[in-house]
Amino acid sequence: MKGNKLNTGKNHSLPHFTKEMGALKDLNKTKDLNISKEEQDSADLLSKICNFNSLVGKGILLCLQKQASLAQTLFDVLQECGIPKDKLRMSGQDKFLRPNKGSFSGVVSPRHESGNLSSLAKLQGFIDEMGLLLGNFSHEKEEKKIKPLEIEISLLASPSEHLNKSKDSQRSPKPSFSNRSNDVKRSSMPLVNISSAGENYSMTTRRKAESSLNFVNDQRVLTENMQIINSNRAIQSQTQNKILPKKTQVKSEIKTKSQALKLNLKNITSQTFAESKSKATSAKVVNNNKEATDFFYPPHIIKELQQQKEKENNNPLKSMRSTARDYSSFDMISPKPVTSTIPKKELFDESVLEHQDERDDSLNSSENLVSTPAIDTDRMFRTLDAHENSLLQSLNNLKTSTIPLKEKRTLKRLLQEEYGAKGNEFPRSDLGQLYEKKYIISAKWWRSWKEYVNFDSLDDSTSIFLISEY
Amino acid sequence: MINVEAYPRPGRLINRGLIKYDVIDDLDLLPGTLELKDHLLEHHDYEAVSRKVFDLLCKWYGCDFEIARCLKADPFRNNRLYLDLYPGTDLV
Repeated sequence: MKGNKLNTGKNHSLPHFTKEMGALKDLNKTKDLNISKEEQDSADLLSKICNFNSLVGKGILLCLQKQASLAQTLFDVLQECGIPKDKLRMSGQDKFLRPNKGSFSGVVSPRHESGNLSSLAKLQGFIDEMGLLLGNFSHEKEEKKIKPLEIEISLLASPSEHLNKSKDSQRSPKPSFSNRSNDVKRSSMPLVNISSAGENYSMTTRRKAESSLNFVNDQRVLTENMQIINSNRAIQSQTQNKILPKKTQVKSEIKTKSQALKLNLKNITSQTFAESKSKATSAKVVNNNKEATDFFYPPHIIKELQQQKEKENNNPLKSMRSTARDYSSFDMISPKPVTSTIPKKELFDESVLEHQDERDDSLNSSENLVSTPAIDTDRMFRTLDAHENSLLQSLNNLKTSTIPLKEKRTLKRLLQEEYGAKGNEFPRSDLGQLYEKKYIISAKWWRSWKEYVNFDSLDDSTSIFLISEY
Repeated sequence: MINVEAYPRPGRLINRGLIKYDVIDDLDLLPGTLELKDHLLEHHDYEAVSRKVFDLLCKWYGCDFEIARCLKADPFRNNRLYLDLYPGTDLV
């Protein structure tokens, strides 16, 4: 049975294989198999050891060829692991080397010495050392006879040995990698064949090695690409930093300045309010003004202002000037600072507001109309004559009205064309051709339209013409 | 003095009052041929105009419903043409 399982060289890729294994798992789940606990445990154990987590086998079939001692050790180990004997069967060498049954792609030259393997850990290490691999395995007609969920682990001999023995027996199949130079290297890799639920899988070491090599190469390429990308990013950032240092600096400066300005403004305003509430002395207000000027004006202007103030202070006559004068001098340069524009009294003195209200009332009163030349449109319209008003209305109508005369003329022309003398420029439902479509409109709307365009009037040179045409 | 009496410009051409359906919620549910109200009188309730006239009026003022009827021959009156306002119903 095992000898009929031959490798034709059709190897599945690993993802494909894992998919199929998943399918097998589902298949196994669906089947209700009478498996004892021990068998189940042993099968699970073996599947775990061999990294075949998805496989839960009913029976386990071991096929160990060539290396009798190795096979024996593995057999013993598996028995120690709790796998029953009837589930383990060692195939003989003669069965393995059948003529013309295919080539052995995965070969192994086990270096493991037979020893006292008594624990699962040792078995695990043994299998790891052997580097057991899953592989692709084709099957022939007899595969139908294979019991489902059989796991077959075959440790094949090296191709050289295999070939020698085959020469002796004159029925050795050709190795699949015989024409390649690195067969010897590959021959050191083991092969595990699994047949489960009538499907056989095998993956050669070559494929695995190639895939692993490809994976490593891909990883290398990826890392190289990542390094290149990172270096490019670093270069870009450096160039950006080099190209636009001024802009960023200016922006940062502007931001910091603006933030400082805002903070200062807040502080100043809060100070002024607090001072106004606490009825601070005028000296303090002057100090605040100074601070404000220091903040708002450039240093050279501040110096000039300070010099002017000192001069004024030295001059007794000029020192009598009011603070408003000082503010006016500020106005010539730049807008007033906040503290200077808001005197203490104007902020909270309600009397000022009352005076302002009085002024507003006086402005709004009719007595001041003569003095204030405000245009009252309503009053103007009231003074106009009725004649003028009607003229204005007609002019407004001219603006909004369309040209109904054109509509009237076009429609009249159309009606004349359609009905001629019969229609008398009037729509009639019984005039026309057979199966001619007539469109029905509301008579009310029609009447309103006729009134709008003065449809019934014969003379076009009427007032409508004057209004709408020109 | 020029005395001008300007009539208001008529708004949209509204034919809804001629249709049998008082409340129209969904226009998609309306049948292909809109049924007119019963006992409509020409020149009092409706006017029948040609396609050209209707197109012009719609272009100038707009329209809500387009109601079209065909001229048919009346076999009882020497095949005199008449506008079949209620197609599908037998003549009495």
